[in-house]
Amino acid sequence: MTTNRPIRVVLAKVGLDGHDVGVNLIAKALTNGGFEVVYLGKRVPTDDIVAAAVAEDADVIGVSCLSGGLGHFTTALIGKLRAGDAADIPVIAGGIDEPDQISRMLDAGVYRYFGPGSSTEDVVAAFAAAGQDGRGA
Amino acid sequence: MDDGKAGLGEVPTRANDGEVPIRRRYGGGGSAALEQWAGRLATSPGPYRPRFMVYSGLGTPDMTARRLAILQDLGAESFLLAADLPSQLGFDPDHELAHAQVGRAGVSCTTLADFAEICSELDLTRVDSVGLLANSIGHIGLGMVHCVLTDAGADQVRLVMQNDPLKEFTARGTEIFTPEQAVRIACDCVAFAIDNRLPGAALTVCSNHLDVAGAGPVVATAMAFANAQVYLDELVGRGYAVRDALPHMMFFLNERSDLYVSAALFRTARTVWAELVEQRYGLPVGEQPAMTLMGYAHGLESADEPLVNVPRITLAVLGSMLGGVDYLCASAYDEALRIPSVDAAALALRTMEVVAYEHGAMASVDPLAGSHKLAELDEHVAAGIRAELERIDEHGGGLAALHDGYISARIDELRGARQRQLAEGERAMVGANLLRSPHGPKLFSGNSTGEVGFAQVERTARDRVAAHRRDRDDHVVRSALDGVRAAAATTGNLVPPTIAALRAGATSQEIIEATSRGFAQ
Repeated sequence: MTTNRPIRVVLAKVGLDGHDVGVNLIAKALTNGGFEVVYLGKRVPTDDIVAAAVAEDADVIGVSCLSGGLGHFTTALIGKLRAGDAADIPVIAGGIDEPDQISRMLDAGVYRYFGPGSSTEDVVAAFAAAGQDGRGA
Repeated sequence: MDDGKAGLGEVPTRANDGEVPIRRRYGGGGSAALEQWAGRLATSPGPYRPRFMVYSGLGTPDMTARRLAILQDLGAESFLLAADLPSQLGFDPDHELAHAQVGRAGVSCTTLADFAEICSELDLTRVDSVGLLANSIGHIGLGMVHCVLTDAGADQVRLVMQNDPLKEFTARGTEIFTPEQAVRIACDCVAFAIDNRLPGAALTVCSNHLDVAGAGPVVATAMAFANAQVYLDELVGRGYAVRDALPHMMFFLNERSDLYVSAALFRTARTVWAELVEQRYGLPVGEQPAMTLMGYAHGLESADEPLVNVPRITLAVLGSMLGGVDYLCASAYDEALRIPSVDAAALALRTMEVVAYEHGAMASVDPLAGSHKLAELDEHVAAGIRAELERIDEHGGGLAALHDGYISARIDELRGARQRQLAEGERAMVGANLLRSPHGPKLFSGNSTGEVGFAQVERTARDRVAAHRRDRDDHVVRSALDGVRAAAATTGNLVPPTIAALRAGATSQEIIEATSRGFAQ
């Protein structure tokens, strides 16, 4: 993996939720911050996210879901990254879920979780940190 | 108590500590359109006397039925059912893509039996209106509501259908068909309502979602008006008169950040739309029904200090009432966190009622008319709506502007205004960028907790739809679905064969698949 290129982020919405304000805002902020962003769109199966992240040589994956189920989808994603020998790609999750589900996903290995009201600055900083960690820095 | 029927110059109330008389109306200062409607505004419920609406739905149909019954007991008059995402997208709960989404952001509702159970504990004799969130499955949603009301003999209950598919392509993301097919379905619903003289709105044109997606309230209102013109043009093209179509359309607009701008947006939108209808369709303002307007009092809700959302929502309620909405629902204080708990949903309803009944918000028609501040805000809002409508017209109207990417690009361009204002300190949010407190979560969390066991809800919904399929006559279902497919392949109205399919026991997914097959022909 090269380390002198910009941090590359794969973003996707999981589940059936189509509210993409948050993920679009983050995509814009990351792009403005010098990241390379690949946004896969809405209703993306976790298998497709893993495949895209590997194909794009992603440093970080960001997934968003506002309708609940974030714990389910991110836990599944972490499992598939491990099975696909891509466990080194950190996953950042944004959206809404119950506290026990958020704990579940963090226990499963999600790098950071951001709920409603999080500042864009904090989210971008987390992607930067995750990108560095993903590269073994 | 003012029942909304006091004459314009009358004093309906002295119900304040000083016993100061409050008149129904204080004279001019409103728009020309409002002047022409003044008599009607003062003699019927509706503008300046909103029906208390709940937008609710959670888990399984029986869970939602119990919730609705509680809210009706507390004074709710209008019920807009929030269907979960699988239901909105035409997936049955046991479809692969429905996994982990069943009953979460609304109630699982995939069969006529589901919707009947959802409404089973409502006393329909005391209900003003019922509707279902069905933007992309309008024919199915309307079919469900119509069947349940018809079977109950509740012909007086009005429709409040949310059935505006065009905004889904850029704002909410539950689009299923092409924009042209979506318009056809939406207009089939309005045509069915006209043909059958159903009271209420078979279509609610929404700016709210475009606003939330990033367009901001003024541009979003223009986009909604452009979409409304697409629907009206289609109906006129089918031979319907605009004066017959308008009573079956309502508008769901919003402004969420300033009490006065909120009021200005509602009162201005009503008059700008009336002028637009007069210019485009030649129906004089005085002969039009006043636009039926729905508001949703929500705003900068905090997930960190949820209880502080109560005063925010209260002021949003007041802004909507001062602007003259016909229908109003209020966000629950915990809505940034989850489907509202029952106590939060009940408090949201009580919030509307307190503002309405205890603080005189409903006593006067157009209470802010004559204010220099409002006059200037009105002018600014109206100019903004008109300017954006011109831009959309330059792109060929709502449908063409959707296809050529203008609407998406415009939303992208405007998105993030609130975030930027907060980050730069231009706008204050108490507890966030102003007066931030380390005690927040301890002091302001309320009683809200997750009440729904989603894994059990999903199992129940899957079992329920499986049992439903076992218990029906497959031959009858297939024959009815053939009727849907055949109608979709022609220009026949989709609603009657959809109703037949629902009554035969077809699921939403099967009806959507039959509709798709017909469209493909």
